[in-house]
Amino acid sequence: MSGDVIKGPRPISLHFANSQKIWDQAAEAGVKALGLNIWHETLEEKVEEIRRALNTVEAKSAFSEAVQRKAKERKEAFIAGVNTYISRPYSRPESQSIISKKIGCVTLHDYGGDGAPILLVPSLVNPYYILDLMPGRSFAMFLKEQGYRPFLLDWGTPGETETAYGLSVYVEQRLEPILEHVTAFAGHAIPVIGYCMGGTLCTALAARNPLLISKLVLLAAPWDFGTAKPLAGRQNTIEMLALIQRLPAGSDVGVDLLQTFFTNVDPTLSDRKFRAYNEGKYQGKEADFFSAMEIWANNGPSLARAAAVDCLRDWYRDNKTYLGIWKVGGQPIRPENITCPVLVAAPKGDRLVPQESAFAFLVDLPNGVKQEPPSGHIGMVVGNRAKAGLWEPVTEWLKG
Amino acid sequence: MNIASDQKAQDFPEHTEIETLAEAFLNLWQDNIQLCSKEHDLFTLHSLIEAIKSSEKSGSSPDER
Repeated sequence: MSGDVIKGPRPISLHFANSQKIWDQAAEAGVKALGLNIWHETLEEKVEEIRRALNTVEAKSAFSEAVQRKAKERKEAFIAGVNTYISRPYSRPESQSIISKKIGCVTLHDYGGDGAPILLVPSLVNPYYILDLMPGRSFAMFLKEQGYRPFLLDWGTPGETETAYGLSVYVEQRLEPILEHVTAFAGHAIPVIGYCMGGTLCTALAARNPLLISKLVLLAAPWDFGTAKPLAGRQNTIEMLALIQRLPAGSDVGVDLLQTFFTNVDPTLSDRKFRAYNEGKYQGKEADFFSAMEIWANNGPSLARAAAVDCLRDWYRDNKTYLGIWKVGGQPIRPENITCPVLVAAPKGDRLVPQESAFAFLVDLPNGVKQEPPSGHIGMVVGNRAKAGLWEPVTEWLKG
Repeated sequence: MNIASDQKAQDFPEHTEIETLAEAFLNLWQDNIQLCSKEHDLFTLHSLIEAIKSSEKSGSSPDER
């Protein structure tokens, strides 16, 4: 893997504080918490069982003492887990690709071979290589084995020019020239696969370039930002937007800020993950996978501020995509304007992009195809069930 | 078997039960934060502590609900 990488959850202070707070406050609350109306309805019965079992003063006292001791152990286990993880060496194997094209900060990786060209577009946030994470967990390499020649787009770190790019300009000035480059190479229209936010951008690509795209695959690409089950971090949209808009001119939105946004989805995740690591849950190849995922999630390019503002304001806050008023190059992007066959893959268990948000794209595309991978937002592309649950069905559909 | 070991044998299940209950409580505590964050409830760590403090201030027993 090229370049320096930062190991460990970022920002480390946030994850450390979360863990300390969770367990300090559990210890402080103790027995008192059992009688309060603070519990999720699905947990109330179990809480009541504990409350009933503590029927003497002695039992309550012993319980409080045990809770305090165990809470302290959990705090220490989190820190030990992070330390053990950071100490373990891991380097991601180099991708089997060459650089095909560079436009500004964007790089196009060519996986070679004699197969049919296919363009892969990841999200603008987090590193591009989630679609080629490591041997055995690479959608790009699987496609190559299936007779395709994958071209994987790396959005890169915004340069001087891209810092001012909003989402529309990113599509017009970066994504469309890349599509034109690959179609010129292929000599015909090509299939395009877009993942997450990259998928949403690809809807504009397909709507604006109907002659260049033969099939469109959207993987967990958010479309309806107003679903009953909220998208990750939607409750923080207004605050995040205000914060980002006040950053000095030329500032980008870095990994620490993005990770803070995603941490709000589940403030306990990091603590659970690293305590499990400390208990030895991840060994050998599983530990390598753990490292690969952590490094992927905690590194990567910043997001251009204008693009971040567009994303939070036009998508998260105003839901312009679903309302049919999101414009790229002045053109409203609507599903009914897409003429090529479309497949939307969205897992039920996606905690970042609810399934109904992604499937909303098909409401006005009655011939669109739905695919439900049996995993989560990231697991769908790199998890143990990615091959059977996503790669194979998508490839079958592409060939059909 | 002497009396001391008899007593230990009788005490042990109680101790185990308290340990199990404490462990279950901490797991529920964590699940509660996870579930409420996910479902966009009003729950936050801060609001939880405020709830505990206000129940103490009002003199009501948190055990009585």
